[in-house]
Amino acid sequence: MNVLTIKEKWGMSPLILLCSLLLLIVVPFITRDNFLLHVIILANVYVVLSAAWDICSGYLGEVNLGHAAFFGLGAYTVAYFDQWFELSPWISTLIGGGVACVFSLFIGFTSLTLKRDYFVIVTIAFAQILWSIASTWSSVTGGEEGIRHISNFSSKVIFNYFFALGLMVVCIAILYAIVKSRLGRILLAIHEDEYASKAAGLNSSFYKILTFGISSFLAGLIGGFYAHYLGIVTPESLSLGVTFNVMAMTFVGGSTTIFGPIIGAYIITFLAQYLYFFMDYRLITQSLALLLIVVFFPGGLIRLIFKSAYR
Amino acid sequence: MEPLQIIEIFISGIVVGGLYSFTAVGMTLILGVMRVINLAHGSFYMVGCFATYFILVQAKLNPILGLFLTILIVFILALFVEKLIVRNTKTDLMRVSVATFSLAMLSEEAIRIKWGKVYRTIPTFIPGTTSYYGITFDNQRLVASITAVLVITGLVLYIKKGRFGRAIRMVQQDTEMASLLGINVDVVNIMVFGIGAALAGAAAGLLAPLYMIYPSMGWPPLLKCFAIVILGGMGSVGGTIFASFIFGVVEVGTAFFYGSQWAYAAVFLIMIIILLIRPKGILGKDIF
Repeated sequence: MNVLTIKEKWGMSPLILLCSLLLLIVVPFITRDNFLLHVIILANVYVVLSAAWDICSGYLGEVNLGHAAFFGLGAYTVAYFDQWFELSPWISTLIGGGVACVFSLFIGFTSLTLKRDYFVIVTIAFAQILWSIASTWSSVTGGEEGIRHISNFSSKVIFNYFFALGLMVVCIAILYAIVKSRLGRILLAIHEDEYASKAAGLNSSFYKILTFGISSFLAGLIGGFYAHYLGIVTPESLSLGVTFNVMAMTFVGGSTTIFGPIIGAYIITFLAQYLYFFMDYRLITQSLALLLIVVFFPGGLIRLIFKSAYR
Repeated sequence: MEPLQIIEIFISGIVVGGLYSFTAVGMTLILGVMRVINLAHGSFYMVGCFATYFILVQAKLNPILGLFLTILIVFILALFVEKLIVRNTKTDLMRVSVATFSLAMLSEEAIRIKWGKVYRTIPTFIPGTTSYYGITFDNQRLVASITAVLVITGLVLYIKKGRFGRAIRMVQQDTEMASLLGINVDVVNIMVFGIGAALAGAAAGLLAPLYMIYPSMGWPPLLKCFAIVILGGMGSVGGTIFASFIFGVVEVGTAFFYGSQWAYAAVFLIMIIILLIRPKGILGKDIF
């Protein structure tokens, strides 16, 4: 009988986890560089987005190409609720997640009971149409300009930094708990062979809709934070660009893992932000790299580094 | 709301539907035979439009020759795409979706970097309009639509009667059995992918003069094709043709009453309604 090391059981050496977390906590106290803090906040946002995408598309196998739609829904909801109801930002962020979740339930009911191809098509159509509506319905959504002057949690960068970090840790903890629990094994089972899992007595549609709902809730939640942090929300947050970034981060890091998207999100966010002189060519480089990775090396970085922990 | 207006919307919708059927049938072939969601289908159309632009405007060649050249270029491109990308990733939905998606982004960005975001137009090569009983059509659209229907009819006949067409149908119905019977499934797959993309290229050759040409123009046709294919039934060519006509009428009607922005939302609405009441589509087969 094999005894797994802690590294193999958890998927990541706890020492590395602890050290990185400590490093992230300490960074704002040892540097005055606000740009670095901003990049880390952005990276944390993408960590949550990518990990949430991975649990639906990687673990469950239902590829959600409309992830940006839920991110943007959370952002726009927060913008509206702050304007109309004068709610505290904490509550409106939660409501942002809730609204995204409700929309995802609707999409899920119509397409998760069918063949996987249908889900891909419906999600990408949903995202594109939301984006198109947000860009052209200027009277309600502000068009390309978006909505401005959204209240934020605090104008101090440090508060936003630790809020983002805390949110990231909480969301990753939720996803990690799901993955390691019975629900995670159920998702993998449904991914492998849906008929067999149905025959074993699992209500696969329920679990699929549940996962998609959780994934979208987290996306909407972090979208709400994003809107508060930036102070504005534009149709760009609903666009394919966000989904594309999420896909790239997940695959660079390693799909169907929790820590892979984290690594990928940090790498790509830092590269994109610090190599800003390369900005014009960023998308083409990223798409070429992603294409090569997906075709030739789909395992991702995390399977290269932690060979024994992952298949 | 005179009856003449309704008839005009209807006929106009049929014509537009005929235009869409080209690209949609290409997609349904690939979906049916290879069971691959090709998110780069829109970019095949876009590349075809750019090829047509350069052939007709820069090189100033004969439009018919331009059409054939465009089809050839897109076909060869698709063969390479299939061989390098689709073949390896076909087994895993996540990999093939991400691969074709990044291919679509790659081609859009490559064209944008090389030739800029400028909106271009190609002058129509069949100028003028025809009128019957007070309804006018522009000739370009009419000819394109009729050509589409003729070509697709020819294709359907070939699939039903021709030798290679029989091979395609066999691979669609039961891939393993087809390979056991000696059909080279790899060749059939690569050819079908090429034909599907070539149909998109042909649509590009005919439709390019009608709309603006810009690097991101691939996405709307992609989504419309998805909606048409869902409406008609994945893998069924006849259903797709019929669905594209219905779709054309709905789109023209929505644009007429609510403005063209909402026509895009109508795509999604049709899709959702069909998925709720009859996910198989009009003539589709399996969905589970």
